[in-house]
Amino acid sequence: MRPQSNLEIASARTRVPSHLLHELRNPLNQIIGYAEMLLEGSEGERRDRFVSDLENIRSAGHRMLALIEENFTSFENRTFAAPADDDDEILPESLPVQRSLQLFQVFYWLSMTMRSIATCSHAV
Amino acid sequence: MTTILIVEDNEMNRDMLSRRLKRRGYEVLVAVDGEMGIELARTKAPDLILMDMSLPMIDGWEATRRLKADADLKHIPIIALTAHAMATDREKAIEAGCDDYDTKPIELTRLLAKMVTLLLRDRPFPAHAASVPIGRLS
Repeated sequence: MRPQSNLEIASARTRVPSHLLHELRNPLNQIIGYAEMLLEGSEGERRDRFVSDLENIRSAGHRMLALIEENFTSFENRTFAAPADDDDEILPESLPVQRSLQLFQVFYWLSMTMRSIATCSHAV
Repeated sequence: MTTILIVEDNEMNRDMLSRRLKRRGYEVLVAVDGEMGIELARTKAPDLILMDMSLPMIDGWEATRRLKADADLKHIPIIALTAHAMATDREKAIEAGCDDYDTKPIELTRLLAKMVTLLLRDRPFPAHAASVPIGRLS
């Protein structure tokens, strides 16, 4: 479905990456937090608690991956679609390119994080 | 012992933060939504509240407004915790009555420093402050 106006396109370009990054902060908070807890040491906690923390890291990683897949696809479809009317485009041409590069950087970084988590989880 | 109330609907965020604070010597209470947070603040009188803002039922902004409107509870410092990182989100939290604001992912050392600053703010120093443990900074 094509956006109804260029204002909507502009709004989608701003909102979707912001929404994606907001949604990613919770699982990132869990991944970083549980990993830091494990690095701090178990302080006498039982092994089942240790394994449970790793499971939380893995589960937060999977949640993050799902969010990337859902939102990245959505953003890609909405942002890179041709504008309805080229002559009244309200954003500079370079902005979608900049946004896409930024998103690809985020996506690449998150993929590397996920790969590390998967490796660590299977090693335990 | 200094008591911290964590108001957070996400189970993993709640579990992680409460355990990390307990390791540093704090007593921790947890609430899963704004309503429970207000109730625990009334009945348990925590020394500080860590308030997630995106909560079910009564959200963090409304819960903060209600706590700060209560003469018996308004002295309790509240730090807003949110996954929103825009400058306007900080302003929105402060306008609701929060004493400070921090973003997720949580950087624990930074959060602990903010907590200690607020915990010491209203205490007579040095006699009372020296006698009440406020947890470790790292």
